[in-house]
Amino acid sequence: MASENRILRIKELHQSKSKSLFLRFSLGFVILSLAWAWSAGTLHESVVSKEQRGANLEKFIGKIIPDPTRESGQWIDSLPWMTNLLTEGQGIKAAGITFGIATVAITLSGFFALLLLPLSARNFGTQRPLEIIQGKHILRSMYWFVINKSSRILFLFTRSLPEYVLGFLLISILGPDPWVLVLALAIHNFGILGRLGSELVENNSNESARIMFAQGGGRYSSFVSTILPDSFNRMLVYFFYRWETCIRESTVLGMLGIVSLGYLINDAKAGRDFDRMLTFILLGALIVIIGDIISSLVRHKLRITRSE
Amino acid sequence: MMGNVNDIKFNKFPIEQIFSRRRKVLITIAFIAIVCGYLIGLNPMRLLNANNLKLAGDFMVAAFTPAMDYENPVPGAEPFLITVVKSVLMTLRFALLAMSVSIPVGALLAFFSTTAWWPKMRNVQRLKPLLMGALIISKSWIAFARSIHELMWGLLFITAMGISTTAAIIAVSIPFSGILAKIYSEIIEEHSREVQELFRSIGAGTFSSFCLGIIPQALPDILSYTFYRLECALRTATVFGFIGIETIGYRIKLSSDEFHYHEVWTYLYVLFGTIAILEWWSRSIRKRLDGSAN
Repeated sequence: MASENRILRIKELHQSKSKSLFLRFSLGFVILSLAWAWSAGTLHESVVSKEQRGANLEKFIGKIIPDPTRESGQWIDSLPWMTNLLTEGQGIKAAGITFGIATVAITLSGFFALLLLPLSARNFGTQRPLEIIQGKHILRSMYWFVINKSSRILFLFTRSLPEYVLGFLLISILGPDPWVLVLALAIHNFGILGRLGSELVENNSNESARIMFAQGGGRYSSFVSTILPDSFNRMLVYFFYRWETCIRESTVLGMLGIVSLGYLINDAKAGRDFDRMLTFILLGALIVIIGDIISSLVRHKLRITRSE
Repeated sequence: MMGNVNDIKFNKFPIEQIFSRRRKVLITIAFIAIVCGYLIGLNPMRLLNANNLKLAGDFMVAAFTPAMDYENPVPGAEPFLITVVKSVLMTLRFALLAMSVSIPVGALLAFFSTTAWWPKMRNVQRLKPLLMGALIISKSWIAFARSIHELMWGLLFITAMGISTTAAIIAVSIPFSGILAKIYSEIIEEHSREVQELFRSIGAGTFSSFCLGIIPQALPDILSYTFYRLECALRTATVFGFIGIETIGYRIKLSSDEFHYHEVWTYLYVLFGTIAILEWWSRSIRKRLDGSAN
């Protein structure tokens, strides 16, 4: 009898487990699309013959070792060559530019995203923010609906365009200028910070903001005097988290043809100096690691950690 | 004692009150950004150059009339809209293939970089250096793979092997599996070990109690992050078009090189739509998964 009860209880538990039709449908869809991805047609491959490819690979691997070492067989001989690359070959300068571009870009996007937050957060950008202001007016609520939705769509649109695509389009408008890299990073991260910030505003406790509204404050004054100070640390955490990814992206954006690390890499590739190319790629990795360390120290100091 | 106004001494400028901690942080950030902008040679006037403004205007005006056909049709070419659909499908396929390589590799790396399944040390002292070695190797590989941008890996592979989609997919999988492994292992470490201890206390081994006690708890978070990565993979797939893989980025590059801005906008809208749908889907899945985890 007791064991029967136990079996019943297990069945009950099993049935009370939450099930979602949506998740099951999604799982099926994922499996189908994976099957399609693996089976649909052959992928585009290079027209080069197999022998030629083998020869290319051999040449690449041969040239990837720094010139002086290849001649003498001693790694120590490459040290002056490397220092020369970093100073004369503009390695250090490009690394500095990479850092600078990321910093300016994230500051710009943080500033503009902050300006839009009181309009884009769902609980602020309505005719009755936080349900406080009473009364209904159909035109005014339509107005706020449009304002709220368009700022959210602006965030969505800007964050769906990859930095590299933005940079490519901007270069045909602005020509080769550091602004291209800064704006490409800033536009993409504006969308991301906007979304993350809106979520912060929506989830933040809003008692004091309610008081502000009840006393006749507007959206901006309530936001600046209550929500912003309260969620300041969390916003900084996002800021530094995006700064870190900006550094990562700005190492490659130079490939569009503007002096930064990516440009040097592309240049070395075009000259088939694979040793130089690899050195700059490793320098890029070093920059990314330094950025990661700085950002995680700061975020740790802000007492909240957030993974990617 | 009644306070007398004259007793209060203002011997110091109340700098602490004017510059609160938050203001100091904001001013410092703004100052650093301005200095950086100056050092890298940003000139605000260059943005307002008349020629640039005109080009930007032309580009933005084209946004209202995205192309429905080639701006400069070549007889015999396949219809424009079919090219658009094909390029989106290719982009999706690239992202799916890259993810399906990255996930198993990432899971394996994550497995070796967590201590949650390690046997109790007293019993198997000899295994310890081996496990430690695997941990160090996988952790440093993850850090290294992550710190080189996927496009750089792509460039390296394409330089070595010629333009080939397979090479590009392998190149993307290197940093992606590293990032997945890092997050997977963090998720595994974050979860409470109570259930695992329970299994252990009734006699299960450390490995089986890891599989039964930790993995089911961690799975919703892991799936949720994996879907977020799929969105990233789609963006990466687009960008790989610019180094020669035939995704939607490749089409954007071709159209833009010929100044066919209306075509560019069609591709941008389609890309936007695809990413928006994927983001909506992934977010609804994540919302439900987070719900079932609690």
